Amino acid sequence: MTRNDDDLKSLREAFATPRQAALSPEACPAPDRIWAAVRGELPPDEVREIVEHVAACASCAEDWRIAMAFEEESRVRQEEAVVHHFPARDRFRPWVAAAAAALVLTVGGIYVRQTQGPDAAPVYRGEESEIRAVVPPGGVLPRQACVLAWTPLPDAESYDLLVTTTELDTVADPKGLTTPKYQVPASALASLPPGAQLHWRVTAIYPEGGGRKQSKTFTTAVE
Amino acid sequence: MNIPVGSPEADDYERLRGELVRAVSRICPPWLASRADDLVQVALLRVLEVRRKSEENARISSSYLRKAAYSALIDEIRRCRRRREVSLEDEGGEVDPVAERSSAQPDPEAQSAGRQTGKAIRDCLAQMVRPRRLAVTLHLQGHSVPEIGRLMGWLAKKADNLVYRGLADLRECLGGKGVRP
Repeated sequence: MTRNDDDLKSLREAFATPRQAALSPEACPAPDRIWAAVRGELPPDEVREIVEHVAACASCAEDWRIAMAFEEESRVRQEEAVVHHFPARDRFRPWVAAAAAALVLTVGGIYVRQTQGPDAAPVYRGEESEIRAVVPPGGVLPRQACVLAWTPLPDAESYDLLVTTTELDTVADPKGLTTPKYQVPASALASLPPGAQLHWRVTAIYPEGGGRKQSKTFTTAVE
Repeated sequence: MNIPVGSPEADDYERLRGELVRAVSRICPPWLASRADDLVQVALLRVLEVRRKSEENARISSSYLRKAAYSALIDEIRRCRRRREVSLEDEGGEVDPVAERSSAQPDPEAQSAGRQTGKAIRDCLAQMVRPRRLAVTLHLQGHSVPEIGRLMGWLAKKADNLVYRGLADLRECLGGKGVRP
């Protein structure tokens, strides 16, 4: 997490600060236009017109974010349907993936225990997690924009992430992320074949000894 | 409006309801988010009523349903905002102490500073050249650079450049106003 990330987070929070009245309600775009714009269903010219309004109107900015959040909720639901579904591939064996996922959980658990120390707060195991993956339908990400995202937990202070291959080689293990997403560097993916699967898990860290909460292990393919 | 319990339609509406409530609870200010259940319920009832009148017995598509539900919800939220703005004007525009207490930021000074910074950001955006303003606005809304490129019809490189330069402009402008986010 860099200073720029913190800076951007602060700017976003301030931009989203509530209690600023709409510019003039009659000038606000109709909700279905905002919906279509957020979903990329409008021509760019029309999107620009709406974004121009959103730049000045806090209420419409909020409406826009609600559409984003609603879309994200939908994606999460779709992701839950595909996250543990391993697509058929040549020579692919489902039990290998299942075993790998189980190993990731086990090794990850040991890893977390090792990093916690004897007085650390208890770890809440995967089944109790509320963290859900947010990736495009189908769960395949481009290498140059391999952004792993998840739903934030309300009181979490930061997140640790562990990304491995099916062979359990660590691809990335960033810590202290303050936003619920992480872009895996393209360089870290360079040695992986097309269609390779990443297994990843998030650990939410709560402030002041408030403990940790782990997600399930998610699976996402890279192009 | 009879939707049999356990039918696909009932499942659709229940799922939709959950998604909408979570979205509102995450995004809206506390005074509005605390009413998420009621707002969503009213919005979905409107959708159901429209459907009953216009397409008796028709099974509407999931994407249409989602769009209609979002539109109805935003209509309700806008009504709430208007009522609230009128109410605050009646009270001389003062801050509602109940809402203030229920805000996610417990410190009134921090809330006030946040509002001022938000206003300063909008003032600075207004001064930017249009492409940078659009790019930075979407970035502040939470969109990634590739998403911005797709929405605005720009190449990723152009979107990246506009976000980078736009954020630099924004920081300089805020600095000039003595505002540190």
